[in-house]
Amino acid sequence: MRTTRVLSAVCAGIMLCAPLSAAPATAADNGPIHIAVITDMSGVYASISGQGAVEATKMAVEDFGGKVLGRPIVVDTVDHQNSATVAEAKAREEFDNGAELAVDLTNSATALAVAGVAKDVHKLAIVSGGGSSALTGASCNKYTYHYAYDTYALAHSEGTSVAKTGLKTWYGIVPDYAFGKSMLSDFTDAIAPFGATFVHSDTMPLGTTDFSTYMLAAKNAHPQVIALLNAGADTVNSMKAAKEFGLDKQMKIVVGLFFLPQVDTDPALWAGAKVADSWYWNQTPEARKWADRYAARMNGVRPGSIQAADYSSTMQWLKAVKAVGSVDADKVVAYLDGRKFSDFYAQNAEWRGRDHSVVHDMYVYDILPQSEVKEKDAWYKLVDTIPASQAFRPVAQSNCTKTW
Amino acid sequence: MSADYLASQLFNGLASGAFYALLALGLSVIFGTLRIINFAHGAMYMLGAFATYYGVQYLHLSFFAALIVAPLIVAALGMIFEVLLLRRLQGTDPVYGLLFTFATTLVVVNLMRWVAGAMGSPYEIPAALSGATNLGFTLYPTYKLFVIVVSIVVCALVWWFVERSLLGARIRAATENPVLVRALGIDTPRLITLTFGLGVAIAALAGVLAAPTTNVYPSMGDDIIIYTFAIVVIGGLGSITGSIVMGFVLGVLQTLGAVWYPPIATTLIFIVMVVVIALRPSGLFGRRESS
Repeated sequence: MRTTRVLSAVCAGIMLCAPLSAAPATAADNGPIHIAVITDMSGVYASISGQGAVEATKMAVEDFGGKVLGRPIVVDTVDHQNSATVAEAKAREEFDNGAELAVDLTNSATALAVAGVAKDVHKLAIVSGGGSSALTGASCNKYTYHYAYDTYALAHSEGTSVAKTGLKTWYGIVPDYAFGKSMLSDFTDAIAPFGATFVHSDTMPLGTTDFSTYMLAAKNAHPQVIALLNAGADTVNSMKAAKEFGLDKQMKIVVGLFFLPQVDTDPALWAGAKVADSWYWNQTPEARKWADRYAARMNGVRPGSIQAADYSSTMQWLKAVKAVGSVDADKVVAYLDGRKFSDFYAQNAEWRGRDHSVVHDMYVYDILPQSEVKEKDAWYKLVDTIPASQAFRPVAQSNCTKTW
Repeated sequence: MSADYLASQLFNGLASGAFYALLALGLSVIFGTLRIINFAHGAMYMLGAFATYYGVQYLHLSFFAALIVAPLIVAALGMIFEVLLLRRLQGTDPVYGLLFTFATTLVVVNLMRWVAGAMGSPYEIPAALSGATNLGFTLYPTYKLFVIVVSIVVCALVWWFVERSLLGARIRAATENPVLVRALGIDTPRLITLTFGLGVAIAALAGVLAAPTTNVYPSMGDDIIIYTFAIVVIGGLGSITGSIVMGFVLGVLQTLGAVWYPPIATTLIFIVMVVVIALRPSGLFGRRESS
């Protein structure tokens, strides 16, 4: 009886002390430095980010030597399950437990949630997966950088590239929510200087399964371009209907948001579409070299742009930490703001201090038919390079209220 | 707007009506015999599509074999579900059946999300049915014509089976007065299980037909089942004829609505539902319950 009581007392004591003793240990300046890869590990975005994002981040840490400022670096995997609430709670936990940096953040809602946490706790978040331009606009903050792409950059790369070839009449397929509407307005602005306009656009709810009506209407309107300004399953369903009605033989199909790993699911479906992206593994020898190392760790699957951006941003951050001799986010931001660089991922890049957009060249690709693909995952053909200054929203038009 | 164009859109309406009719028919068959509003119908439609996808991917079934095999597999699962679980709810308030099948849907959809991921798997139109057919006034996708024909044939067969065949008469009798039918030496529980299986098989068949035209993903049933419920209500709960006719009619109406004014496409069916409930609560083809 007595032993039990003592035992419970001891246990209670340990439980009471646990949080106290844990805090100083993780906050210490000589323990490991954690980098949290916060992403979708099993849902919609797992193939474009997921395990590949974790692996890419680990590669950056290993290539850097596994240590910075004499402290080991640990990469934590955090599955946000595409929930902003989960992402926010887990990010807070990670930052409290010694994480100095959160990367990836695929899915705009989770990216915006984690950006808010980063702002609160004064630690850095670098977003490469989420595409909302609000991250560097209305919701910008000192502790968040947007690294890979946003809706503005997609529209201005792809819209410009297609419109300047003289295709003037466009037809929009627009999902009825914020993303679709901002894509339509960004595309409209992007093609206007070339005298191109949307002759018509149809708005339909998110999750529409039968696009036949709209495709037939589009076919009947005889535009030169049809722009699918949707995402995920909507893109697949509208593309299927477009091909079923033979629109690909009559006009150019532009896909607004697309990532390389999606081609694998149905190559025949995507052949002939035009897409914009921030990177493609086979576009330069350096890119290819990195991609091959990545593929060796990922069962031969080549990386998409988000995964490459995770490596690049982690590496940039580690170099910055080394240069300033501290993981302190304020010091790192002071070092990074305005810094220019190029690496295998980003060309002519700049950590823009005004709105924390990391700008770089963007690219437009044609998706090749299977018959023209010479090796695994070599689906893209580069057709246009859009310089950073034209692809991203100019500083003069920024709606970020800078408070730092 | 040319006549050819409207005629093509009419076919689009029939093609989308083909799915509504099959799903509404399955729901009606199940409601007619079990008095259960089967909320899991969308999940069964989704399972039909996934059974096709996996059957073709891993067992190298042809699409045409999948048209038969996938509904049988899903129907078998459905019958096990009925015998083990659903049967216990017999005689209780219909709300229990609704809640129970709704919970089942959540479990099944999330299990599939776990197995297949949420993104889904595109599936190609079989080669024999790809391309377009000349209808005289326009070229129309062959696969969509195939869907319309299969749906009409299946609907007609099921209608004949339930309304005209001897087995159908027994099923209807078992619904009206199970005690009396059992007294005549007919195995009522087995009849009910088989009917449930039939309803599920029709839902799964709709899933197989949908696989080539839409992305196959776990929540695909949720997107279509809400319309189906509205159609069943409009046609008259439990009315086989009502489900079939209103499935096609509302498919056409929805498509032509979208041609005229796209934002109304999703609302139109519900507007019709509200009007029908207000003017004729038992549905256009329903008869007043004689209880």
